Amino acid sequence: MPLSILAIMSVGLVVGAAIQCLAPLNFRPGIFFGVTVDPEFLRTEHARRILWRYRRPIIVMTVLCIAALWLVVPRLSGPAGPIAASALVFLGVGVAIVSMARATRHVRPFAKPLSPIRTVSVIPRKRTLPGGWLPFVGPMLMVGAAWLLLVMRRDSIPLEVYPGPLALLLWAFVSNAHFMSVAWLVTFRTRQINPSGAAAYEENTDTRFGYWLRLGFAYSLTFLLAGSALAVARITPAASPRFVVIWMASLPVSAMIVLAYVLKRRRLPLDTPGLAIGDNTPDACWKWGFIYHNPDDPALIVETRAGTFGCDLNFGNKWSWVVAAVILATPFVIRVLWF
Amino acid sequence: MTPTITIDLNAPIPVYRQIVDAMRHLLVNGALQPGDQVPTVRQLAIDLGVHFNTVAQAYRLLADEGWLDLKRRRGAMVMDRRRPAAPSKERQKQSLQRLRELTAQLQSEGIPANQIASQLRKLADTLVEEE
Repeated sequence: MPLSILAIMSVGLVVGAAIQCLAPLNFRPGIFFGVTVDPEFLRTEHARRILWRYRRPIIVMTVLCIAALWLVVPRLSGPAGPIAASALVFLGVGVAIVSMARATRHVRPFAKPLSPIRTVSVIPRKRTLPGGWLPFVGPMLMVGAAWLLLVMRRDSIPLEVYPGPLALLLWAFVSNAHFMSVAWLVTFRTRQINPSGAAAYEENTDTRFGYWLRLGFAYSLTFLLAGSALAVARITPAASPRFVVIWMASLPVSAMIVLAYVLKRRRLPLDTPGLAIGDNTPDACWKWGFIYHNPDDPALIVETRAGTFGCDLNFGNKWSWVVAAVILATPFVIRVLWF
Repeated sequence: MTPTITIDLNAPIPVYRQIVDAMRHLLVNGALQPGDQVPTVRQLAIDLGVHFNTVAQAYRLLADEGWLDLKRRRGAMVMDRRRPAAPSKERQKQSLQRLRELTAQLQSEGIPANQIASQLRKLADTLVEEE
């Protein structure tokens, strides 16, 4: 594997670990590792110990992964190298998820009952996509343009090559549909936790950031897949390794943008008027801090407990199973029907 | 100041009744003016974390009282409600009885009588000023 790719992956692992370690800074007031607690609990020795227990495996695993990346992966030949490198990344993410689930268990003894008081604004929320419809459908337009180019130049593309670019564009289409639908749901279907004031403004800022992050991923993946499709079809010059390196470098850069946002995000004092403590979801309905099941909650998408600009499906709502099934089954259906 | 409503999911008063009372308070005080849009049933239900039918029932009651105009899929709008005629003597008696029952409930919850009286005097002064 080229050294540049190893360097980029190392930076990505470090930045990813930094994001995971600093993620608790992004929890809502009154939420700690997916459990409703007293906001003052975060200043206690117990909280600091739990935080360290959460961060330690992530730091250790990141160091081990980077060491393996530089010592082991270069000695592997053929596809084993990239597969091993990818496996290390997934291992790092897996350790963070397990660490989060364990931290949730440690916090539960300090849980506080969810407040039954709900305060909501009676001003209808504006239903507009940040930036308008054009940036939102941009990735699909790019896929459509690439597909049109393929169709128009069909005669000049060897028959045995043709399915490959189509498959890449189909992959781009499906992943765009996923990102765009999640971005839409987050914009229009999540609830407002903070009803008014500075807290509501910060919440809306977080929602917009999450929207642009998802859209950014969609554009990035479309750029890679559509570009590769055109290169495979020999419509554009074959993609040089530099193209792949540049694309891969954009991933840790995106991670750094997220990290910068997490660090610079304004954390409001607890006595800010209109600041909601906790959220509107009962602790008992959360599993491991990131799987939510509550048939009594009408929301399809609920506020995440792992930050403030993510979301989770409510598996107590039957439509969330439909959404999850569509996401999981789509690649298999496409494989069976198309190829 | 953003108009808000607050409900208590553990209170003995049904949630739909709490929504009606809170919305009516905003409507009477002028925090919501005729022509203002209020959230759709879906949006309010999701924000409160209650069933859609609960909010729909509350909105229907307010529409029956003449406060809201319910438009399918476009949410509800505050109507220009004419000041109702003075209620009948029987109706006045019932309303005052409800007020007495409310003060009895507050006393049974441990709120001192003089505090209740002081709050009622403040409310009365505010009502007279608004008149």
